[in-house]
Amino acid sequence: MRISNSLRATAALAATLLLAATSTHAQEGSDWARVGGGALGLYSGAALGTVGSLIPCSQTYAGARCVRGIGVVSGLVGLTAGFYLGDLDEDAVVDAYRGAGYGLLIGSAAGVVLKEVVERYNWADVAATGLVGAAIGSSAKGAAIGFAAGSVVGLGLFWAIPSFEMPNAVGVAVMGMALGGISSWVVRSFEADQASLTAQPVVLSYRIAM
Amino acid sequence: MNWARRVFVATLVTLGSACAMKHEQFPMPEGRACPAPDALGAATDLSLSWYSPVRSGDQKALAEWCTTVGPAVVDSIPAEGFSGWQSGDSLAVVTWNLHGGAGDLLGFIDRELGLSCGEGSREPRTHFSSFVLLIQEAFRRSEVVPVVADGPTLPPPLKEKPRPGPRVDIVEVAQRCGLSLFYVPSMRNGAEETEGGREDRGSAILSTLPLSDLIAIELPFEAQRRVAVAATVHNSSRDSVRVVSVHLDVASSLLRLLTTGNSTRQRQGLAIEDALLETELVRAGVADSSHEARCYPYCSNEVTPRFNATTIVGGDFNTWSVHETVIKHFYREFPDSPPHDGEPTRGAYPTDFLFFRRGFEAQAGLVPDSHRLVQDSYHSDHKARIVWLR
Repeated sequence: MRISNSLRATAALAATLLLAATSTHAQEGSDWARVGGGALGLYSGAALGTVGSLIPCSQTYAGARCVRGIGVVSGLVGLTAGFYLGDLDEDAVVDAYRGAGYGLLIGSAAGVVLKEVVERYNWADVAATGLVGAAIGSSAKGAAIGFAAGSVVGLGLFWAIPSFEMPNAVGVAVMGMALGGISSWVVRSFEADQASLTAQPVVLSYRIAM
Repeated sequence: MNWARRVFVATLVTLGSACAMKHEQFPMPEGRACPAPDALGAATDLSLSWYSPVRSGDQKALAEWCTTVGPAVVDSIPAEGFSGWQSGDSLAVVTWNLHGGAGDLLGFIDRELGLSCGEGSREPRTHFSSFVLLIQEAFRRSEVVPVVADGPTLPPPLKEKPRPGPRVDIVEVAQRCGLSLFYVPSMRNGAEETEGGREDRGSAILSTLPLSDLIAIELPFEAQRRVAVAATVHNSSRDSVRVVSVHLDVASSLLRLLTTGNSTRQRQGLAIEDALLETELVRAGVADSSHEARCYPYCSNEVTPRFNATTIVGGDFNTWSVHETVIKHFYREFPDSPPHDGEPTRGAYPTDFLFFRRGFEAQAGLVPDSHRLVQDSYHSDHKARIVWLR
């Protein structure tokens, strides 16, 4: 089996993500954490926003423009949240990179399976599946909760509304996953903010009556 | 922080332009065709206009696929004996995806349109009227389909379910029934020979009326080469109707899906609209195709151009919902279209549509409530749609 350049690049990226995650020492507010957090947040937000909006936007007049708009907004939310997270908690960014690495590996493995069963699914698609996996993996918990909630809502609408088609139900589930993943970046930065507030030294002043 | 602001702006610009893909079409220079006129002795047919995407990436991919198919077939005059489309008479327009040799086209013409086509004879029945068939996935078996090595530009043959009776290709159907034919292959129907011949497949127009103003529109390349075909038919009072047979891609690759924002069918649909608009402008003698020129004098406003030709577009849009972007665009551009009946045409999916736009000062229009689904699929994996014009 010939392995294409796209798959080699994916494997190299996975290794880089995992190594970056394991070799970095926790340090609050470093440049690496800010830039790394912002970059991963940007990528994850844009990718999740794009994936989540594909089906709902295909039902609008704007179509691809709608997908692009949501991708941009989601990317900017991810960038801001990731940058802020890196500024406050480098460990959280390291965890996100580790998750992205695992997501990339799992996604690529799923892509290889799909290549065997889906017609015209090539190595570039395997790499794309891996990259989507990385975006999900960097915010896995939120994406999982969002997907579960989206699936319940989508299936509920499918059973309740006759004109609501099964692809729409799938669209709601995927949109839930994307929303959950993007929200997870915001929630983590908010939690880091709260933690930094409570961790600050408290100065107590005493007035001693003489 | 200046650098942070710069990163923010650069990100915004990059993301915003990431999946913008051109769909615009341009008329190919006279004499250019696919395959090239000198290939396999294919003659240059000057009565056929070609439109192609402006984007060079599309052109490159289309050119590679083009080398695998035979030339277009143009037989624009039907056999003698058809009475023509008399003023006040009805004209049936059908769209149907044949699925190669699976669909029983001769049976369909016999039972739905009232024309019995035997070996060397044809017999119009009592309920016969003039008709136009807009066909997708028609196949042609011929020596002119070139011998080429297997590769990524050769898709596998269509998986047809066996049916009673022989597989009759589109050229033979036209000859047996005495119909005019305009067929443009999009791609090969497998690399190997089938029943003693090489096959290609694509869209076609068959009619009891003469076909004129023939146009082949190569669609932007997404997953496979697709060519929409257009022709014009006339009634006895010189009212003309442009008929267009369309087949859009099912899906592009996952990578392309993500990087273009799922614009596969939207892009191909807009390309058809663009080529039809260009055609109108060229026929009207408007050389400048800038936005301002396009809107003068044929536009009542920026949104709704006033087209000269009455146009009916039929085809397999490969959609899974009637609310898809490309369908919304076509209903907007073809405001006189019959409303959709909600019926699926391929499995559970509403893939096949007929769109209609009445021309500026044109007489011919749709017969009210004449749009219907043909329930018998005649062994194809698609059901046909039919509408009457008068």
